[in-house]
Amino acid sequence: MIPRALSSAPASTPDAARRRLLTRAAAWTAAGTVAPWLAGPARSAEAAPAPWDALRERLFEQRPIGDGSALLAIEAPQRAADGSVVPLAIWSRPGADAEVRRLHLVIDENPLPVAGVFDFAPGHGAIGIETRVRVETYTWMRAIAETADGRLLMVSTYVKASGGCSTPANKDFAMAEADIGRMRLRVPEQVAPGEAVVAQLMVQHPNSSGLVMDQLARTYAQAHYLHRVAVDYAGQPVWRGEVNFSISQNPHFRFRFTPRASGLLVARAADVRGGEWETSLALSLQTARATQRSAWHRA
Amino acid sequence: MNRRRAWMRMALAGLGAAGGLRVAADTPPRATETTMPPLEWPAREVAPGVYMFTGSGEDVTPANRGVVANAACIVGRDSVLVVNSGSSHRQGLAMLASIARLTDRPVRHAVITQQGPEFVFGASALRAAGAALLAHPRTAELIADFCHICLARLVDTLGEAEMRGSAVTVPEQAVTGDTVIDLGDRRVLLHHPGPASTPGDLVVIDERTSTMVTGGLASLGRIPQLRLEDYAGWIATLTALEQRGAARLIPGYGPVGAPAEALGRTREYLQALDASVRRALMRGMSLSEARASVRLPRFATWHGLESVHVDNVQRRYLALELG
Repeated sequence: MIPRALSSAPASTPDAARRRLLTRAAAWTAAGTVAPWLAGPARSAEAAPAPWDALRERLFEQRPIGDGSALLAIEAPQRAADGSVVPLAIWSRPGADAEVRRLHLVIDENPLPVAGVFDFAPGHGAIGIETRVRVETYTWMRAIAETADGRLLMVSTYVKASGGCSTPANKDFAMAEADIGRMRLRVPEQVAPGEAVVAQLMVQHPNSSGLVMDQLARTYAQAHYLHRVAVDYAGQPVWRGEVNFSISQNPHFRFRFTPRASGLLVARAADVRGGEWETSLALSLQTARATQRSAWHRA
Repeated sequence: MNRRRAWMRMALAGLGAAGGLRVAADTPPRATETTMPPLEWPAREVAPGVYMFTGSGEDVTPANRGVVANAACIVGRDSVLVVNSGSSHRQGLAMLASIARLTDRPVRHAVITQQGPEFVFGASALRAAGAALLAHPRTAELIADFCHICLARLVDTLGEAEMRGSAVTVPEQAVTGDTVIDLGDRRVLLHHPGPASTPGDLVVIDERTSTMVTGGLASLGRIPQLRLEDYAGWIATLTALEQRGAARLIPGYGPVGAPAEALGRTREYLQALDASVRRALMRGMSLSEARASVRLPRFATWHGLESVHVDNVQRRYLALELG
């Protein structure tokens, strides 16, 4: 279920990273619906006045996309002073009847407009993902849900972000190599069987695109970002994410899941340079006094 | 139960976000006229030879033309020293026009106390008038690296016409430690307290009148803005400056007054923000929830509670969640 094979060759350029991402994406989604848009042109060709029209075509071809606002809520600040960290939340509305199996997060004006594709295990009912994204400019942000009955439903919001006047300069906040990949899972102190809980996963990682100039060295960094995240509970998948550098530094995911009995919550993350990390949290329902074990490997 | 309430808030916030669909049509009002009415920025004497240019304390809007932060000038026998320069080239010109009505002495020095856009963009006019631009080297570096972003944002908000002539202007004279500028008959001290509200904050002290001038380091009536701040350094600096016992303070925002007022209230805000964000984290609030719900009733009347403060909540949240 979880593709764990990691190539040993480190990505040497953003292009190489993109190719690797493509390969992984193709392996990841048997349906192959993901690859066409990842292969799509970057920056230069996105100059069309309505990038969504072209994106929509590449992603979903002629499939109809309905209004998803009865099913999902999308939440982001209307104005974001720091475009490098813009909170973005998508949650099932209470009482929504359709089951979301896959969620596409699209940021129209970003170099890679698809910030993430999340797959949810069948039978999970209400879903939710809250993360933080990088936003280059004023843009529409969208969530397109694929439901268990095969419909596409979209919610969207407009955000006015203007990057990084207060974005830390690299040299002040360079991340120590030893800290990269430190993961943390958190759950509420009280967890009852059958009750949905909001858990969070944080991964310390630069999640850099290789597109931003290092202001001190005047060079471009190598692409170094997470491309795959997986969360399981009690041996069953909760969600899978195929992500990229549109997710902010120190990728952070809040998500909803419903434990029915005590078990192990396991999170795995892999980056484009072959780093792979894992952490787990043993949940004993009622007390949820959890023990966390972490490990990291580099292929 | 807390969790349930959080979910309810989330659902309500979601409804609000759906309303956000209207934002595309609600683009910021632009000043479209190619000629702008002349901008006046009067200088008001707050101590002998010390003048204050007053900003509104609001967020930048076409209505206030970017005149939101304070600036100051100190007039000596031989020359004039200016502290900060407003949000636009036009504001720098307005300062020069007001100074010309006070004295025929030249503006030889302009001190830029930090990299905030509402303090830096009149500097092009001051330099063109012959003033040397002084700043801490970290401030100069941050202006060079990042101010183009803020300039684009100001052009977007205020329009090309209002911002005409404005350019990223990097101060050329580095001030690292205490530096005295002689204006002929009075000495002005430039003091770098260490990293505080920004990495390169400068404080200007007119020794003759015991008047202290700061940038956004001290703020009254407008939420102080976190900008690459050193949180502990900032709080310590506010206390240290208070202990200098100056007669008066011109803060970056708000009225001139006793230093303890602006310094103390700024410190009180920083401590309240820190405590509230820590509580939000302890309760397991998400970043979105914290942005939406952390408000400080004691500062309810201040400008920027729904703009600057929300961004401050985010900066503090991100700084604390790793700890």
